[in-house]
Amino acid sequence: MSMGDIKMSNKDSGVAAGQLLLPLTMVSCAVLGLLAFNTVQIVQGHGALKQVISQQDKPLEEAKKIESQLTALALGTKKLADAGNGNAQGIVEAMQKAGITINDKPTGEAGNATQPQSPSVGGVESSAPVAPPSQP
Amino acid sequence: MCEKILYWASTTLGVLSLAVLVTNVSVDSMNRKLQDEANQRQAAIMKANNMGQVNQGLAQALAEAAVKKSDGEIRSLLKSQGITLADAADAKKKP
Repeated sequence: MSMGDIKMSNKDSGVAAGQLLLPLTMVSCAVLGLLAFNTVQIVQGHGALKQVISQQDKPLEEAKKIESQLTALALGTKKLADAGNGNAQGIVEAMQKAGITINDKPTGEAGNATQPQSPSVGGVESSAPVAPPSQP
Repeated sequence: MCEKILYWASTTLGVLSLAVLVTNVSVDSMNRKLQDEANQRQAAIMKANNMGQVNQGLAQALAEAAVKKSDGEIRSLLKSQGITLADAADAKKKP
């Protein structure tokens, strides 16, 4: 096939390169519009996510306080029980009956974050649904 | 002349499309990371809600032991966590 054949075929089809520019421009315009619309939506979602995260700041701070207090109370109670305090021993036993065990070493925070049936904070681990310990 | 304008218009639109596409992909990637972070924080908050029940029960049990059985060690443990208890005698005096 020679150049003459190609020119001939273009002439036959009746479409010149210059004539393709208008539809190409229109398609480019449409693609740009679509992408711009999508980007605006994604940027709006970005703002919303940032707002959600900033709204979680206060509850998360409270959650950390609760975790640290529970860890301190549980470890303190365990310590007293180990030292022979009868009341603390009773509370530890009641917790064990409820399926809550106190470990001396605090467990990782993220490790049990997604286990609602086995919640664990600091030195406290539960193998049963969480229930407050009752006073013996 | 018209062809030249169309050529530059389509070229400009193509370049703009590429730029917007890059922005789109990068912001979307950032959004996914933010979503993961939000999910993790939400899970931590939910976990703390469960722990709050245990914390409340434990603090209550300790407080009862401290007040009813006059356990000074448990009282000081509670005090170390900012939980102060009124004396049993004071509690009886108050209606």
